[in-house]
Amino acid sequence: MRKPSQVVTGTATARDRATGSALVVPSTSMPTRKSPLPALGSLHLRHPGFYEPLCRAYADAAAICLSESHTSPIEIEIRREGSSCLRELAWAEPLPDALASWGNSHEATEQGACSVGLATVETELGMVALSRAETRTGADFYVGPPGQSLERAHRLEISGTKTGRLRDLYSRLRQKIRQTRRGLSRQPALACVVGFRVRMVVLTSPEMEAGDA
Amino acid sequence: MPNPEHQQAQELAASAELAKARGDSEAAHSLYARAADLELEGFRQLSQNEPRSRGILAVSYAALLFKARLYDRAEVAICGLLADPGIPPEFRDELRDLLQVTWEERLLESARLRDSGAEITVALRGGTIGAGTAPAEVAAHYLNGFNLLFSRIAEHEMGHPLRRQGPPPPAVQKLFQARATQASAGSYRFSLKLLEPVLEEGSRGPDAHRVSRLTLEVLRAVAHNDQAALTDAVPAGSYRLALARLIRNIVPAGDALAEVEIRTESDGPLEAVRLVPEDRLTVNEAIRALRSLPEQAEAREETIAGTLRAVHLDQHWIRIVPEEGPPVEVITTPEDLDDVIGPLVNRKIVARMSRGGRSERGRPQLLDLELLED
Repeated sequence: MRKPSQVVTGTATARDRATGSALVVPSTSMPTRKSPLPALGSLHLRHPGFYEPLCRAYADAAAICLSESHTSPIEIEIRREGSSCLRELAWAEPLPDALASWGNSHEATEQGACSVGLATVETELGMVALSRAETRTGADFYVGPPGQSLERAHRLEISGTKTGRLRDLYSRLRQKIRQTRRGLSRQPALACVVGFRVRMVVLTSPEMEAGDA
Repeated sequence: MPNPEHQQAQELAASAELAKARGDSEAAHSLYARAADLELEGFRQLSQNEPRSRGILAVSYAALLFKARLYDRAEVAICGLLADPGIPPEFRDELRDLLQVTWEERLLESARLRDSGAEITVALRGGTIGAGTAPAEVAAHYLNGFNLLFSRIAEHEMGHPLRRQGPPPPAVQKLFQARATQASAGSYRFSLKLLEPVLEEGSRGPDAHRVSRLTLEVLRAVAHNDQAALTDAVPAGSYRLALARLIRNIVPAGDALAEVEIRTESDGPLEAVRLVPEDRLTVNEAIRALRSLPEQAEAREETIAGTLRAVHLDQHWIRIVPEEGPPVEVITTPEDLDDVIGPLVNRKIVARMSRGGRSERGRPQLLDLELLED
């Protein structure tokens, strides 16, 4: 097991891949290179549940989190059940206004993760944000194919982390899955964790992880 | 999209979120209230043949009322929605959770009418916490943990140098009164009240309200590893590290507790600081950033998990009993404070330490010590 003081930068190591795949999302082959993720600042054009000012603010938050460790563009690894791919992610350097308004690092990480998470869900699953889901402390999203009614939508739980360790990313994913199962056991749901520093997005359906977390 | 009213409600809720991020709480509350009215309109237009959509909008409506701090309306609305047999079970669970926190807020508001003094209110939720009850060990740990943190911040505010050993000065101890508050559904709450001391002429007392506000600023900065905000709040570097370590002791570890919510006397639920188990990662990053370790090329780092069985900080050692093998004596430094390490005695901990280098007589030197997750 990696010592707590050791930090991984860049993409996953072979050992991380092995550790991660054993935890939650099996990655059976080398990642294939696919088309880029869509521009984060214009997701609202296709996501009716992602109000334009919020979309732009969340894109700024993602840019701030990414710029802390990387220079645009980067290749980000997206892991789903049994597969893995690399997609290019580009962003504009955050302006001073954006940096000032996202002074809170924790919120920037969570909201920036929403931006990258929704772009991932759109590209990987063909789903868009149909509606916000208000909660006591914030909001999640209901996603589905464009034009679908809320009756068959999936609840999407997104979280972000700036940790440099893959095991922390998977630990966060396990927590999200537990949280999703506890509160929404009868709803179709998706869990997504964005690792800004390790350049990775893990996307899974808690139903598919039923025996794991 | 169910209907245009729901769309408008979402846009207003998003605007409210942005207003809150700008620090404009008043505008945020007003926008949430308008969003709630529209969400109710949207909900009413849905047919019984759309149960999930009705559930989603019902929860959204209740959450928006809660965020607007319209607790009486939220209570009535949630009770009405729970009486509607057409709301699916998974959404009824969410509504019950919202009703519980709504009741808590109402109780808190009525308490404030009786007492307007400076205080920090702490709510423990989830895991093993019941309605107004908590396992004695958990309650004692958090009461003690917040008392220690609050004391340190008052000492800093009163201009005392960092205390390396012993209890807080009597003048600081006299400032506090810990009180467990009345039972409320879903959580265990207590508050720490700051008293206005009667001071001798010429002596300096703390600004009680500033101490409570500073406590939240420090908690927020450490939980988010915002070093700039932490430096603004606490200019003294030695205090910053001590406070970050005290805060780590009160971040939930494992599944025993899901959330610790902290707020001052003037904060609403949206302004509260919430500590959840995943914040441990960020707090650890903050501690690592604060602790500048000397380079020791020949030293190697080790991690040991076990029970902390003995502490003698005056002689600079602690003793850890691992799951297997003999006890390990670890050298401490002046940075290791008794109010940080003391609460961990007889608990499962994980210690990070270095061997070799300047370690004394082959004994490892403590780098960091924290409560082990369940």
